[in-house]
Amino acid sequence: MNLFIELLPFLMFLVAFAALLRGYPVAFTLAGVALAFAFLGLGLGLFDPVHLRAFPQRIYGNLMEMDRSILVAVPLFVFMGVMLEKSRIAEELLEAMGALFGTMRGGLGISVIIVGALLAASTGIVGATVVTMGLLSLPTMLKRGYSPELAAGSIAASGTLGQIIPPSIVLVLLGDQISNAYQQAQRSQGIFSPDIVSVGDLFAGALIPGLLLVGMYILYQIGIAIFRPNDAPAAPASEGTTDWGQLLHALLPPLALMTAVLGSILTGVATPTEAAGVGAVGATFIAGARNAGAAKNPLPGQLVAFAGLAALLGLFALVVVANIGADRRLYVADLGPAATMFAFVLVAITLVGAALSLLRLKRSGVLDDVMASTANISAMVFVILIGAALFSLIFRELGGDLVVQHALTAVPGGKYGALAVVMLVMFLLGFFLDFIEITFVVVPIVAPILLVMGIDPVWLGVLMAMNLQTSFLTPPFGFALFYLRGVAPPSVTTAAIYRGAIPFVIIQLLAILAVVLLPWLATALPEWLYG
Amino acid sequence: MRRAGDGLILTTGALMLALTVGDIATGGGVAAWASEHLASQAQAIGGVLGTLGQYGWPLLLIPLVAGLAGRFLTLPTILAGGLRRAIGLIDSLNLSLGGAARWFALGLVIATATVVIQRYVFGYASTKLAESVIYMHALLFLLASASTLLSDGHVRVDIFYSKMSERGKAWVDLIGTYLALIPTSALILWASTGYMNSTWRILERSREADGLPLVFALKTAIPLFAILMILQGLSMAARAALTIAGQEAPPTPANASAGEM
Repeated sequence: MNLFIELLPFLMFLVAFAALLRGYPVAFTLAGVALAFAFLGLGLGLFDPVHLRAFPQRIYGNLMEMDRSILVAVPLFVFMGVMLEKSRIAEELLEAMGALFGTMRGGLGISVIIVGALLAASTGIVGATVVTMGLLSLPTMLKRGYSPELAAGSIAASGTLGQIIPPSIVLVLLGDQISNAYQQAQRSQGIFSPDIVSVGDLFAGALIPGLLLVGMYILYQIGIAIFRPNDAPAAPASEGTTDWGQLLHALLPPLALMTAVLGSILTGVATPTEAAGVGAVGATFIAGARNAGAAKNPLPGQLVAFAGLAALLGLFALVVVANIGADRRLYVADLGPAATMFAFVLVAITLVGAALSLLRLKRSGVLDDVMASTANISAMVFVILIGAALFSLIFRELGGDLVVQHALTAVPGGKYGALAVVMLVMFLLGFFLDFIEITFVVVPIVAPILLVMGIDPVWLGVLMAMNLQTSFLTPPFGFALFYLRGVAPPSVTTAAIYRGAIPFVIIQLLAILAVVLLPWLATALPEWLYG
Repeated sequence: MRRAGDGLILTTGALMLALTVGDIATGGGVAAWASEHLASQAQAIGGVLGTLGQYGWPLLLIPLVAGLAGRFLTLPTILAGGLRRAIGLIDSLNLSLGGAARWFALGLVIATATVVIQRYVFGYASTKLAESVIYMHALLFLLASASTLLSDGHVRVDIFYSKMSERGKAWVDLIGTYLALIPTSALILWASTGYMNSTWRILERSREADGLPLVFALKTAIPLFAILMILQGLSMAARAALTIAGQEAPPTPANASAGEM
């Protein structure tokens, strides 16, 4: 009987895993299994029903209180990403970059990776990126004589960059969980004025590893172009007429938005939520100016939307310039009545531009699609968080965290051995589960233990994020591969997609190894930025 | 172009506006009425709902029974028709609620950007506006969750599910709804009764003096979420029951597009 009680947490995990594989929505499956084990625990007298009574209050405290406003960054980043996706920036970028690099050997592959990195930093939605590039770049690459393996692998890998290059939804959710775990770990060690690690820290930590991955992907393309030139031939020179106007038109908006959003987060001026909110408005202006979803784009509307965007940027430029060299925070009111008047005029122009953009997008149906996607993804993510919260609560009450703690401390090799085991388990779970479930179920259970053992929270978060990103790419169940399979022509076999992904999985593993061996790759930037 | 829920959100907005204007016009009359009567009115409504639930819950089992029976025999026309009608009613309810909630996505964006401009450009902070961001965030996912279930937007581990036959999928949906979705939602509903009472009795407001006085309404969204999920679960189970019985289930509405990460 005692043995049975000790094995209960294991059993719970196994049952959950088996139940999840049946295919019922994850959020409710996790909660249902948790509930069954809660009743089992009640029957055995291991479990206090007060925990069930308090569950709605827990939902309220975990998701709906003011100090949880970091979670609002999720719908805001989704809104911004879907809006940019609908304004067809990816299509234009691919075309312009293809013309710029296409006449080089390996150039199309490189342009796919650069576009993937740009989209990762501006939209960060893996599925959309893979689908767009699969529909546009894959046929072009095949027509130019690229090997299907290389073309498919490049597209799938570039798509997953959205997970690791900030701002990314994975990093927001993971950062939030690590931040909670870090506080819990310090409290359990009797530290009552704990250090805080924020989502911003994780964004800064992930930047260099993300760029490292982009660099390694590009090096791989160059290597192929040199050693297996037939796999990545150049396009005929006649197709290489670069239209610089088009390139700027495609490149400038996402680049400006990315710099503003990421810059304000990394410099610590704004929280991720604040930056995401302004970024979403910026994306709305861009989509409005392009009249996304409509066939024609009359010039007056374009100008009004652009004027709105310029006025919004002007407002922030005004305070930024005013605060250069100031010894205290200055606002427009400190700059005199003329500046205040000017600011109000800018606000008025912003409002007019925003109203017109929204009107255009509502008429073309784009606004409805963006709002519906945001609502659906938001519900999907946070309802899993509710289900996973019930799961971890009951897992913990049944003694699961102690079991895991004993197991992890028994691993030879101390904290590094424990870390290696956790990373391996996450990688294996990644074959079956989405990053959201892993983040919400596994991280709260293992992260406090690892952090107590003395592992750096930012380093841990970045390693986990890279690990989850890799699982998106790993055959046979990587999500990026599924998305690509859905849009790839039948001439590209599933086996070719799998074979193409493998070199990139190896690159991923090398990059993870690099971050393991050189932790400063993850920790140096946040330390330098935030001290 | 009008979509489901657009009218509902407009009506709700107009109602809120009318109440606010009425409150100002009567010198706080609406607020006074609310603090005087709202709690007892709510208790009366809660009592009716409780009684409905107490005697009505066996109705929840109809799709399960229909599914199990449909495996072996043809469903009587009246039962199949009833299931179809229930599916239609529940779906249209949740489509308009989800469609209305979807506007909170835009509301979030506008409110957050406004907070940022107020704070960084004008050096002014409004607690009410900052709190409204969290309210809209919570209402967005709580109220849109049921319509997300309808459009199959709640992520599944579909390695095996995607390869199953229609009938196999229907069995997973039927069993999962009764073993996982309905018990979980029922737990949330049951556990909410205690604090619903206390939060409505004092008409709980924000902890900040200048915050929104609507915490009781926000907390009510949690049991409401549970009720909507139970209803949408029933619709899902009824569809599954019809599929298992070899009868045609109503198609899911196409305009509810699923999101992708």
